[in-house]
Amino acid sequence: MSNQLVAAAEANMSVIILITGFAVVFAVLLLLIGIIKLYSVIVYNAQNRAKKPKKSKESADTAPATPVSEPIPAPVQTVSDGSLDLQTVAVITAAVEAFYSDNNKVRITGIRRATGARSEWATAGVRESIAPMRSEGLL
Amino acid sequence: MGILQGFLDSIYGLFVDSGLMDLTWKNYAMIAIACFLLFLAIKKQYEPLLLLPIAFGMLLVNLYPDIMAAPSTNLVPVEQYLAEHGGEAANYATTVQNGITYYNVPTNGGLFYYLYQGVKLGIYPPLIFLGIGAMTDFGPLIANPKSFILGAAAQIGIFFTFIVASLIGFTDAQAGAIGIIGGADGPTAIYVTSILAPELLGPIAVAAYSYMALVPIIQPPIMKALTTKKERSVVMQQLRPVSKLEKILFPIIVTIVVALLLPSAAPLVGMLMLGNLFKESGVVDRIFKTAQNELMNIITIFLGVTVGATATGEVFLKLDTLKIIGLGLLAFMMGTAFGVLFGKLMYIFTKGKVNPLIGSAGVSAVPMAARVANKVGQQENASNFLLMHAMGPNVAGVIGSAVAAGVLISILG
Repeated sequence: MSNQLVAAAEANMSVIILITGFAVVFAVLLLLIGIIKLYSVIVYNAQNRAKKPKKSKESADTAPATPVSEPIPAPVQTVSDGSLDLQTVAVITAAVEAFYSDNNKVRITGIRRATGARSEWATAGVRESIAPMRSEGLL
Repeated sequence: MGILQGFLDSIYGLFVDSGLMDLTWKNYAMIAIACFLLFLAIKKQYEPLLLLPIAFGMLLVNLYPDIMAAPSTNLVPVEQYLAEHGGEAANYATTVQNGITYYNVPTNGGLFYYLYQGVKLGIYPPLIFLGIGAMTDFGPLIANPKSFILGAAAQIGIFFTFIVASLIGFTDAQAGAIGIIGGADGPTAIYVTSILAPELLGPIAVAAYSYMALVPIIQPPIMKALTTKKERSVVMQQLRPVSKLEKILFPIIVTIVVALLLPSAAPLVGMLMLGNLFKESGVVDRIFKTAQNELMNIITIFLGVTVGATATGEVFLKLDTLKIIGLGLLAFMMGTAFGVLFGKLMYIFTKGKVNPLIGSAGVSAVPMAARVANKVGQQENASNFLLMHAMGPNVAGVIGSAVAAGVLISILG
């Protein structure tokens, strides 16, 4: 009888740990989802607000660009330093457009030289992405 | 004649001291296993950075068990000591037995005994996490925070395996340490085991690292069995760019939230996030590089050889080891399966926008599990690149397994 009681108590303990484990792991990670979403919105809004006055000034100085209904953020951003020739700009523009081939609404607002500090994961990702092209002799 | 006898006595003394007299068949069996693991590490390149030092530690400890010996005290009669040391008295404590006074002469422990303190005291795993944090880009996770759900789902295997291990006779603490193998995270498994069940450290560490190395073999059949061709072919939308500020805030916020809610997970998560903050802040380039290179490499060497050195014949060649290896496999397979199943749920709720294969990466084994998800996806559609999408659940899995470890330590520790 006492053995059965001990077994029952152990089974209870196991179930408690199982439920607690599920609940805590999911609760903490769901909380993190909420917090990340919240601060992402805050950061996005704050950065947009900081950029807005700058943009309006720029648009007054430059010629009006081709109207784009839904501009999506381009991977290459910020202001060009003026050292690029038009051919290079055209090549980069074509490459970006080709990359977003399913959505042509891309506008290049500036070109900046990358710092070269790419993380290991990013490097691994790039290698993985271009591996099929290498194997097909495209690179 | 006297010289010859002295020479023969010396040779006999060396023979008696050699491993040939002391080693048992279990040691020889472990030496064979260690050589096989060295073959896998060098020839097959299965996680060589870890497997090679682990296997060599295993080899050394079974050839020379005293390399892990704890320091001890020898009782040397004071008169004998004085005779051997030219009458110079020593400052050792003395013990009197049967009217004879002895010096308590301390002897040094083996080399690995001292290096092992970093494992035993839970120092190395958080330092490894520091290096991992410095190498990890949490951008994919910040861009798609829902990945956390997949990182959490893949931890379910830990808790189910805990129950199975309890049912087949392991204590609750041992069952918790065995279950954590399902997190597929070597440092976390070692950290939890060193606190909950240090006696199982050898088998659990070897099982955990073995399954991490076998991710490309174990996961794909489960992933394919639980998904349809249509689901595996889903091409996911490109992730949004993540700003530098978001990346800097992430490690600070995660540390505050996790350490407040689950303090026992703070050493692992805190060091992971500190390493990441080194990287993302961009202001401590020197220590960022040290954390991800020199420090990480040094700790990996110490951790590898000393974990391998826990696998002596006496400890490792037991029925319990086979049970642990079996349970570890179960935990790992369940973690993969639950990750994929939750991926399927996300596929349904997002109306086909999430490829369920990325759920398998929630088991944390970074970045191998993400690469496997990418590879299985490309088998259906060669132009489908899931790697960065799978990195979200993958790094979420690292945080998830550290949180699960904190839960187990809080309840069972």
